[in-house]
Amino acid sequence: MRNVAVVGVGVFPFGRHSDLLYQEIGVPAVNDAIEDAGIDRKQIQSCYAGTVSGMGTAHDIINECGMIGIPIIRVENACVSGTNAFRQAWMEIASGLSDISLAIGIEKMKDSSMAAQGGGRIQLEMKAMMKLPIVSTFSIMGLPGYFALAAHRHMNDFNTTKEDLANVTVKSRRNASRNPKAEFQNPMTVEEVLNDKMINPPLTRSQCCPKTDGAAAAILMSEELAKKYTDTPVWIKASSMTSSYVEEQFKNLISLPNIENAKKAFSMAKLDPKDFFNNGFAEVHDCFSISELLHYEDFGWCKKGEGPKMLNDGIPEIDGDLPINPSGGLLSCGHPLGATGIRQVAEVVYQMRKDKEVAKRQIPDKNLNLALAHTMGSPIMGFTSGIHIFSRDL
Amino acid sequence: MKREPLFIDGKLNAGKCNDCGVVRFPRRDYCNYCQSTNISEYLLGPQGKLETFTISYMKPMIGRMKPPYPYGVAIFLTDDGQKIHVIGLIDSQEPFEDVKIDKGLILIEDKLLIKFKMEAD
Repeated sequence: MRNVAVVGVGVFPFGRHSDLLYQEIGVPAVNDAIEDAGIDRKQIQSCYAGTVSGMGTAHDIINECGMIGIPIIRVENACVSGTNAFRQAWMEIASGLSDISLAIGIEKMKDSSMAAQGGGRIQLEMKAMMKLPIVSTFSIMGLPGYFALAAHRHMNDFNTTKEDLANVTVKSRRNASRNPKAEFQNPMTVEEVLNDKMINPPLTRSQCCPKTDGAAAAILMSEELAKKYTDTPVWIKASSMTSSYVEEQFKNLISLPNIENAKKAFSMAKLDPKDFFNNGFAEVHDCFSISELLHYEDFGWCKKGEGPKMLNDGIPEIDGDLPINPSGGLLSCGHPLGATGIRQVAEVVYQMRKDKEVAKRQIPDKNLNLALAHTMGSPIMGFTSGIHIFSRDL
Repeated sequence: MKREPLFIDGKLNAGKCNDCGVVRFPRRDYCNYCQSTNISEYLLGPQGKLETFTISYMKPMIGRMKPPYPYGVAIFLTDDGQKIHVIGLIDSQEPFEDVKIDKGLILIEDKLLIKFKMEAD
């Protein structure tokens, strides 16, 4: 396979964009990525668009951007849709099919229910679902519930406290206060997080990522072209995905389906999780406060049960040994399903390049050699996990 | 793909792979570990243990459950010691003080929903 680099990225601010069309939030992200890459848009040979509910949006965006004619492929994989679109663009260049490919992530969620976000499937199959015993039982549990179950067991087994969980949101908001493109930029205290509206104990509202509107784009290139267009390419060292079925996950609630995927990704990049300390950073899928703590443990960055200690020791802070979610993550940026995976890639590229976009939240130079971006999702009843590992040097 | 009943004789209708021995609930045509189709009926419960729980203060995505309602994951042990994790509603009244992690529970038979009742302290 050929080496592939990310050369340009763009992000449209995450938030509420009720009065804007999909293409009105998607086009600026794509144009920013093209300008950032310094290429002529005629050179783009293919487009992969991660979106759950945005049927036809990629055609609208590409049409507005003057690139109609190239293959446009919509990718849907729940919360991993953006990561998946990025992976498809990587595969296309790695295989030699294209030299330059565009990955878009886009979602509008503010004015719709999660049932509608499910691509309409939940509404279409509701009658059938309610008659199928096991599915009707799963239906009582929303996504916050699944993670609340994991949180309660973690609290029981490792004496994790409500305050430990709230600290994840406190760190997230602190970082997002330096990110003008995050939905929530106001810092919060532990008390404010704990006194917020209860969703599923122990998780309060601000420990659950919001439904958000947003878009992001990335331009990927072959090694030969990347070296021609930029002095600061960001290399893709690993792209890894796994799947599992929801009933399997109850077997070990405190080890989400990412453990196997992380092993695959680190192996592909020929790295050990410990190689990230004082050397790298990560954007992980902090869909709920407990999720981020579980990822520290499941990716091998600390022992099982020691996620809260790693956080309380300051390791994942922007100036810590292993900065995690410098953007503010899903909890504060918001989580437009298809856009999140590409927004993470944009954060990786901006940070590694020391771009003005991240001037207020710049990670120190020693930690810019490696990066990991991760999303996980539940396409109705199953789980999927997507990880990319990046490096500054080939 | 066949729709199997949820309960048989008050127990959960699971499947055991005759080739690798793994028990899976709900029962399916293929074993997810060795891909065998040699699956036999294996009944779970009715007694289990509560692994974890939460309480929903939100309306469910589909269905008519009225919040707040507790639900959790129960563990049912097989004869050879496999732990089978099953999610279900917990039959309890506010403030749900009887619902505790690692406490015993018993299945309540139902056509559609898996439900548990906590055992007395």
